[in-house]
Amino acid sequence: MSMVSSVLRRPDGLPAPRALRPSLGDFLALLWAALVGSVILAPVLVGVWYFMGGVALAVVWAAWLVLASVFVARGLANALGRSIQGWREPTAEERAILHAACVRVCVAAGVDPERYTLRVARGTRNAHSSGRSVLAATADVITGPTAVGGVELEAMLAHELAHHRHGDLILAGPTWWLLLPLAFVDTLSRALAAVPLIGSRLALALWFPFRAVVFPFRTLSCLSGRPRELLADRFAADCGYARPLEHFFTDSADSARGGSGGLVAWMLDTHPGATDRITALRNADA
Amino acid sequence: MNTQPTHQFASQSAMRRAFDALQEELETVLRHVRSYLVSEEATVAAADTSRLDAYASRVLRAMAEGDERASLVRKEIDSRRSEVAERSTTLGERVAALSASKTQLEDVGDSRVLWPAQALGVLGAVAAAAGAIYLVLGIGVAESVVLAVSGAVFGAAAAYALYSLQLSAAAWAQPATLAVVCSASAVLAWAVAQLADIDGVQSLVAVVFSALNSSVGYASLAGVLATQLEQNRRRLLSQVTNGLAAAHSELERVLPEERAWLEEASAALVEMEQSHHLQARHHFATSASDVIGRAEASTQPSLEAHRDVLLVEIDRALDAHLGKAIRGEPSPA
Repeated sequence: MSMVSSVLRRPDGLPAPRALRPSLGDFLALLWAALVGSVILAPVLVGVWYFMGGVALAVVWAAWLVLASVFVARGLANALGRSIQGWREPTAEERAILHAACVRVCVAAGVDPERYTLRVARGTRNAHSSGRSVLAATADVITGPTAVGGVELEAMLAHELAHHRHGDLILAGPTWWLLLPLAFVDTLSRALAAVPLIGSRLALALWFPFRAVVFPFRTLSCLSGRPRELLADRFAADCGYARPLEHFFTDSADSARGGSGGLVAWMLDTHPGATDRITALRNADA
Repeated sequence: MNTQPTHQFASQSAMRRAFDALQEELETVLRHVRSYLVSEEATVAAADTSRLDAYASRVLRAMAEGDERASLVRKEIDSRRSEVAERSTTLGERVAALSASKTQLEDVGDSRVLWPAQALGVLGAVAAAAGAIYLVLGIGVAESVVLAVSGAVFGAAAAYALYSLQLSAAAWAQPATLAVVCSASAVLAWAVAQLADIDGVQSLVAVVFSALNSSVGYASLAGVLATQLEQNRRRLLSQVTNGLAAAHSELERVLPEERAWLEEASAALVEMEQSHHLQARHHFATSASDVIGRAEASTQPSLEAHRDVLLVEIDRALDAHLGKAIRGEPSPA
């Protein structure tokens, strides 16, 4: 065993992932989504029990829960990501630039670049990871007058790659599935609000419990998501992208200065502030 | 060997923007030249050699200005070429190092990855031992289970101690530890049997089952620990293999595409400069012909001769530039 142990030293330049599985908060959020979804589905489940018996109820409920696990599969998770995030195929020029940046990041991270799918995201000056293998960046950072430098684009992709490496997105698909009943309630309340005279009252009646359910879930997701963002920054720094990432955050902070929004806004913000991230990167260096 | 990013590649977008900016600058220079020539024609009536000299001088200045602006882009291309060459060398070293790591990791592979079967095995052994102790020693079920579990834990503890002391690889360590574990369990079982006044075959059965139980506990944990190492080995091997795939991908696809793009960019730059200079020459030739056409018939031959001399000078500057432009391209990597 000691011979094996001596060989099991990580080669230089191959950073270890900072995490191997989703965070506790992600698991708790999944459980909360299952609970809330079950409560909202209760009328349906009671109907099943009434007409078909307890066994049928158990089977239907278990099937609904178990079906969540299929959204861990790569194809489904990517398709789900596309429908939610709305990214598109890159043009030839965008693909060449993204592919070159992705390969360089994968060399630094010790990851096979062929496992990842590159897409162009909506929005401005951002990048995100989606599904189980999608890396996306907005068009303005890839080409055009506002395109970032090559190393900065690599830094952004390294951060997003870290989310996949750390398993941050594994539970996103199952959580979405379990939250579908809640999404239905949201759609219903909007439809009800359009009903003349009583619509607004009905919608308001749904609004309070809806918010009471959503708020803890969102807070849990955000509070557990924020440390993972810092962990992803650390992984990108391990790959050698600390300075370019810091530079990107500095530029982003300069262009996005605005009001603080208070405690609640902070709690519901999925990302740490740019200043906190820059400080964390500098502390990591120290 | 450092493969972490120290390069400052300008993105291809930035270089394309630089090209577009250069194109615009050259066009601006030519527009200024043309507007100068036109304005001079409009304001100055004299058609003499000094006029032609002024035209030629302006055009030569425009060509030099174009050279200067294009040289900045050429420097960027050259700088990028040498970065690509350096990156290629670095990646070659990385591939060599990772290949060596991969070979080492593959050589120390361990096939003991049966931890689920081992877990079931130890549970079965503990259950069998507990059953045997219960039947043989005539003590309670709970006590039998406790004794059986203790035996297995004892064996497992011995395996872990061996692993912690990093003695597991020594040829004598595993058999010697197993012998000690079995002996100690046997002695303990015999002592318990004596205390319980159990003799003969029953005592022997208790001793045998105890020894077997401890050995199963020991072997199972030793297998699990090896499996844990095997898992670590496999995880590392996977990362090394993926790292190799990424390095090959960059060497075989990204860098050649980059070199091809730089060659195209360099050729496009030469063409752009050539076009600029030829247009400037054309402006001079056109304006000079206009001036000569307006001059008196008696002075036209001398003006034409002077124009031809100036054209030769401009052509010489053009050839010098084109020679520089071609010589300025380093040999392909």
